[in-house]
Amino acid sequence: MKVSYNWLKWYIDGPLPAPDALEQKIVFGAFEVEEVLQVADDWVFTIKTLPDRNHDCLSHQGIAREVAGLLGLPFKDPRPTFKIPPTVPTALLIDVAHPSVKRYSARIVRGVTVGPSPDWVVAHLASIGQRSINAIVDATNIVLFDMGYPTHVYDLARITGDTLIVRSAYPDEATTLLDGRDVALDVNDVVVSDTDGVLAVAGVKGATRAEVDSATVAICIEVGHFDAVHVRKTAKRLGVQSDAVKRFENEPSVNRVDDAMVELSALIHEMCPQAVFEEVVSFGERAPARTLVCQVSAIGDILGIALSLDTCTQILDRYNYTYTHDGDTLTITIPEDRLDIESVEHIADEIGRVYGYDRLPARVPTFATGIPETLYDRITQVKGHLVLHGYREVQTYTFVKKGQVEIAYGPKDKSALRVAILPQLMLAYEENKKQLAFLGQTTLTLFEVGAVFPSIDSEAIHVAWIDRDGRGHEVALDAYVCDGQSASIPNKTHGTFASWSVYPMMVRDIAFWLPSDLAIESLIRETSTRAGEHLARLPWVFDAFTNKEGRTSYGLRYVFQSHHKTLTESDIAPCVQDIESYLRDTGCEIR
Amino acid sequence: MIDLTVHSDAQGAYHPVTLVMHEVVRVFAQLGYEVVLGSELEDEYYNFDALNVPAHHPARDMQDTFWIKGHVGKVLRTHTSPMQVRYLESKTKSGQKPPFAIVVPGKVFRNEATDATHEMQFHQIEGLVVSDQVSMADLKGTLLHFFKAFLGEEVEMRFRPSFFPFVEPGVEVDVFFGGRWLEVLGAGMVHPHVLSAGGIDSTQYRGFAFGMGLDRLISIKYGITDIRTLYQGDLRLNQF
Repeated sequence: MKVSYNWLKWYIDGPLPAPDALEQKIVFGAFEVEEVLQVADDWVFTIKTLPDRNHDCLSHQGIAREVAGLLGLPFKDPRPTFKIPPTVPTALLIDVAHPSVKRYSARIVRGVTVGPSPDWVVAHLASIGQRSINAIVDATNIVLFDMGYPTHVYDLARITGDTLIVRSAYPDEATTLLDGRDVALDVNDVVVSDTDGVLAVAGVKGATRAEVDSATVAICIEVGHFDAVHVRKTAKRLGVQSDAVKRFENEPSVNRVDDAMVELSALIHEMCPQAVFEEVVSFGERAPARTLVCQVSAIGDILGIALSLDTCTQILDRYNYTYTHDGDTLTITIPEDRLDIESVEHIADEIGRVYGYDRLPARVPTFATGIPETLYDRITQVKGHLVLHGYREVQTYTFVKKGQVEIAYGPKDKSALRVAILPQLMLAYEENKKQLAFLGQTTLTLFEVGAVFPSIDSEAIHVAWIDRDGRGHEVALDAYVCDGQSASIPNKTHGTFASWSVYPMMVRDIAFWLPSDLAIESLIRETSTRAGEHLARLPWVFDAFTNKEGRTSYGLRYVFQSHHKTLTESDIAPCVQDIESYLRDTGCEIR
Repeated sequence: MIDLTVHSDAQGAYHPVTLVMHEVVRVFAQLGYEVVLGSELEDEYYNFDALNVPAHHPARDMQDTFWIKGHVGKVLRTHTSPMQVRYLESKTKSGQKPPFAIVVPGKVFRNEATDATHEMQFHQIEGLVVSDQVSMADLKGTLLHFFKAFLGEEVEMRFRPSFFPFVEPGVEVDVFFGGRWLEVLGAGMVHPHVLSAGGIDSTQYRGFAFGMGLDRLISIKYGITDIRTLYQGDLRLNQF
C-alpha cells in the first residue's frame, strides 16, 4: 500500500524521523518497505503489509497507529474529531437477508452538490497516486485509504422505494457494473438491491443504474461489512481487483462500520455544508471487546529473555493497550481493530519486535544423537555407490508432457508428473554428449535419484543411471544393490561456480611426442596461458600412449568458446599457432 | 576459466544440490537433529490446513500451488513444512514425547513464472524443534551457528518481523555476506494451531521452525546466478 509521510503526520503527535530513518524503524519493527520515493514535498512509502495485518493496516490510520507505537509517540486518534452533523428523522429501511452480512448501515443525505473536492482532499489522494473524481467519490476514497474501510454511495433518486435489501443474487440475475460491463450473477453472490433490481454487487462494485453523477442532489451512503470469502469469490469470478475488494478480503473489524459511517458523514458534511443528514439506519451488533489473559513469564519464555513486567507494560502502553496485572498475570483488552491478536504468542510478537530481535541472546540447543538409519542415509549410500563407480549426478524435471498423474491449470509442457526418470535422463545424455570436449571426457555416465509417480497413490523413489555404453537402467531405491563400498559425500565443498557460454565451442586437438624430461602437467599449464582469452577450460589429455621405443605421445584437446559470439577459424588460428610454436620450442614433436 | 581437470573420465561427481544439501544436513545432524524426508505429492490438508492456512484465505496467495487434475485435495507440496505436522502426528501416535529436532530437505513446487531466481521445482530444507522450553533466542542462536558453519565466521545475521501463517512470532532472516544483506529464510515459533494439529499440547510445549531455499543458499555461496541450470541435466554444473 502507498502511504504518504505527510498524511501519517496528521495522526502522530511529535516529530517524525526523516523518511530514511522511519523506513528502517518500520522494516525492523513491523513491515517490509518496498520503496520510498520523494514526490514534491512529500515522501511516499510503499509498505508491504502481510495477511495478518491487512485487516487493520491497509490504511493511514492503521499504519500511523503502528508507527506511533514503534516510535513511542502518541497516536492522535482522529475519530473524536470528526464533525457529527445534526440529523433529521428518516424513512429509510434496510432488510439484511443474507446470513453472511454481520453489520450494515446506511443513511440518506439530501442537498448535496457533486462538485470538486477541497484542496486537502485532492492533495491527500494525489500523494498516493489517486485521482480526484468528485467530492462524493473522493470522500469514499479518503475513508478507504485513511481508515481502510470501503464504503459506497448511491444516487437516491435512482433507488425505487424506501428499502435497501441485502440478499443473494437470483439465479440468472444480471447487472451492469460501474465499469460498464454487463455481468451475470448467481446465488453465491451477495447483492444490495431495491425492488427493481441490483444496486451493487456487495463489497465488490456498484451498478451503473444507481451511479452518482454531477446531477445528483440526494444520496444514500452505505457502510456494510461483507464477508471475506463471498467478496473474494465473487470478485475473482467477475474479474474485479480493487482496493475495496482487497480490504474486504482481509476482513476488517465489524466495529469499523460505525467509524467509517462517522468519517464519511463528516467528510460530506465538510464538503457540502448545506446538506441535510438523516439518521443512520443499522443492522447487526458491534463485536464485543475481547480480553486475553497471559503470563509475563510466558512472553519472556517465548522470546528467550527474562522479561520484567515494566518492560512489558511500557511496550503495551506505547500501543495504547489497556490491561490489568496481578503479579505475573496480565489481563489485556485487545484493541478492537486487532483481529490478529488471539493468544500469548501474538503478544510475544508485539513485545519482541519493539524490544528488538537484535537484543535477543543467541543460544544453541543440542539434542540426543544416535538416530537409526534413515531414508536420507539410504539415498546418500546409493549416490555414493554410483559416484565411486564413476557416475555423475544430474537432476532433471519432475514435470513431463504425459503421465498418469496430471497437473490442473499447469503450463502446457508441465502437464503431468514423470512415471520414470530414464526418458528425461536419456535426453540429458544426448545433450551432454555435445559437451564432452568441454567436460574433458571421452565417455559419459549419468545418474539421478528422485521421486516418480506411476499413479496417484504410488509415489516412489527411483535410481536411474546410464552407463559408459549408453545403456539405461532404472530400479526402485530399495532394489538398488550397493555391493562393496560407497563414496561418502564431502562435508564441505568449496569453489566458485563459473558459468558457461551459450555460444558454440571450437575444438582443436594437438598431438605430440613428449620429450622424456618434460611433464605433461607443465605443458598443459604453459600452453593454456598461450591459448588466448577464448580458451574455455584447461586443455585435457584425450589420448596417450607409449610406443615400443619408449616414446610417449599425448593428445591434448583445446576447447575455445566466447561468451559474446560464435568463434570463427580466424579467431583461434593465431592461438593454435602460438601453442604449436611453444611446443616445438620445448622440444615436442608435433604429429 | 573453468577447471574441470578435477574430474577424470573415471571419476564420479555429485550434483551441487546434493553437495549443499548434505553440508546443511550435517551441521544440524551434529546438533542432534534427525533427518526426515516426505512425499512430494501431498494432501492439501498437510500442505495448508494443518499449517494454519485455511481455504479461501488470502494467505494461500502467498504460494502458487500445483493442483492435481481429477484428485481434489492433492497438491505438489509448495514447501517442506507438511512434514512438521506429519512427524508430530506420528510421534504422538507412538506415544513419544518431545524434545524433537528434525530437518526435512526436499524438492518443492510452485506454479510461478520462471526466471533466473525462480524455477517451478526447487529444493528447501525445513527445521523443526519442539520441546518444553525453546525460544526465539534458541532459534536465533541455532541459525547463527548454521550460517557461521556454512558461510564462515565473519557472517552476520538479523531478524526482521514478518508473517507466515504457521509461526507466531514470525521473522524473515537476513545474512550479511559478500558485502551485502541478503534475505535467506523465514522462521519463527511454531503456531499453537500447528502444534495442536500434530497432537502436541501447546500449553506444555513450544517449538521453533525455519525453512530455507536450498537453491538460494547455493546461489549465495557458489555464485550460480541462474537456478534453472540446476535442473537441466547438464553435467557442466558438476564443478565441485
